Amino acid sequence: MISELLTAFFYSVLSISVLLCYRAGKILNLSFASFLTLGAYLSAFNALLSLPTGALAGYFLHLATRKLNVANSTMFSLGFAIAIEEMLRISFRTQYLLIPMQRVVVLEESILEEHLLSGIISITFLAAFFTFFFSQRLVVLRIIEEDYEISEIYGVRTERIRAVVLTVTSSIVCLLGSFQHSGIVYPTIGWHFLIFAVIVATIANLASKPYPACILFASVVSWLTRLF
Amino acid sequence: MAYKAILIALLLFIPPLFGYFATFVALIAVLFAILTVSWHFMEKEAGWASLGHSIPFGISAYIFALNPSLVILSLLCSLLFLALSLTSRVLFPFATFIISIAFWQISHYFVFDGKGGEEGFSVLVSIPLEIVYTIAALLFVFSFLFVELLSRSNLGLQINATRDDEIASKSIGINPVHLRVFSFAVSTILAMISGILYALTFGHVSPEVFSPFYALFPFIASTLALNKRWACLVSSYVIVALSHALSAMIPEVHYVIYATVLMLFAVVRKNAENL
Repeated sequence: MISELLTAFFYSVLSISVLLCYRAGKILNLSFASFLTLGAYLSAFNALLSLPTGALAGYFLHLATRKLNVANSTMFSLGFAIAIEEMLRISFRTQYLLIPMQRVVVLEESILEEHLLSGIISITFLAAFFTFFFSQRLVVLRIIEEDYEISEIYGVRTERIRAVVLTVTSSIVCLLGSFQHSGIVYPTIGWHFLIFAVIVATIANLASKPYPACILFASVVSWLTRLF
Repeated sequence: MAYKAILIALLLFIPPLFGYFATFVALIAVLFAILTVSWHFMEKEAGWASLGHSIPFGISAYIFALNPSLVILSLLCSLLFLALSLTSRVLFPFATFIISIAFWQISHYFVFDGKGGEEGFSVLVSIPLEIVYTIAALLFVFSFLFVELLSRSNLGLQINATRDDEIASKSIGINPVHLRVFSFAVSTILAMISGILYALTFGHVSPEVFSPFYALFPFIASTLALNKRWACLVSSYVIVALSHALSAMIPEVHYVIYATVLMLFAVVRKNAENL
């Protein structure tokens, strides 16, 4: 039960990140798959490295795609994802990387210590996101989501907000990648998670309140993945 | 026009003169060229850019390995494309890509009669490589001419009109959904041919047929061909030859090519439009 709950929180953060980038950043960020992988590889050295690395990668993605439309930005993010995966494949020259993991018992359930950390990070992110997102401080984000062009006319600095969205979500996703694997890391590990996150985000995008819907659908996905 | 025909003829006829390995590499390039022509028709003529052509390609290869008489069932993939086209033209490439990745993941768990899984299936039919190459070369010429003639026909013009403006085409009595189904079916049939040739070439089908390598190949080859149909064969040769030549140094060199092309996609396409 604890394990399903932690997975649900993880998928919630991932799908919210996908949705936020799509709605406020005008990009279906497929690079998240390789950011998760990058985080997983970095955890072999120091998991905390993934936070600045993810931020840098996200900011680079913003710089490279800020003048492109949705389709071309997404295409670029896919190329960037493949480039990171190949860089890891060439650097490590091994099919799998084994990372030692530790187990802890929480409420009589044995879970991986790293998954527990991933859950704590996810809960913190979700709490911060929902606190700020519905406050007046981030009202511009909602305006951008409603209409990107009109928000520019009203003087909203869309490019700056896009940079922040891509940088923050990328660093969080990269950090989660450090903890969400099961000890066996390979270059395509991130795609497995991203598929579910994109499906959840797509369905949630149809709801009137898409971000809370992400949590609901992520819980269903988490339960289903455990079931099968 | 003549130099294009000569180049295509040279690329098809010369490799068998250089022995088994050259024929094998050329065969892979030709079957990928058919897949690219199939993708190119759907993208250029119908306006639906798929990043999931590995689905009909892989499914036909799988069904051919299991039971060749049922291979026609892979035509159902066109219905999957039709369902995914409900997302929108902008999201269609990414919806197809995500579904193709899902097929890739799921195919690892596909077991039939105690076989399959990560190992995949052996193909029951075995044909000498030279004969498969001859069939592939003929099928490439057939696919190319068929798509070329179709795109110049009245039906092709209707498909183009629907691509440019669905509402306007409706107003002159064209049913865009019928044309979409037709375009998807034509593209799927050509991808099926490519999948069957793949199964015959390697004699073995594994979950790799759904991998991003096959999903993205037509897009990359078409971009490298500057969106020119006749040049798809040339770009397929370039990617396959480079992959084989550099695989000793960088085993997954094709993905490096992919990453480069995808990241430079916007610039390449913009320049291609100006040519």
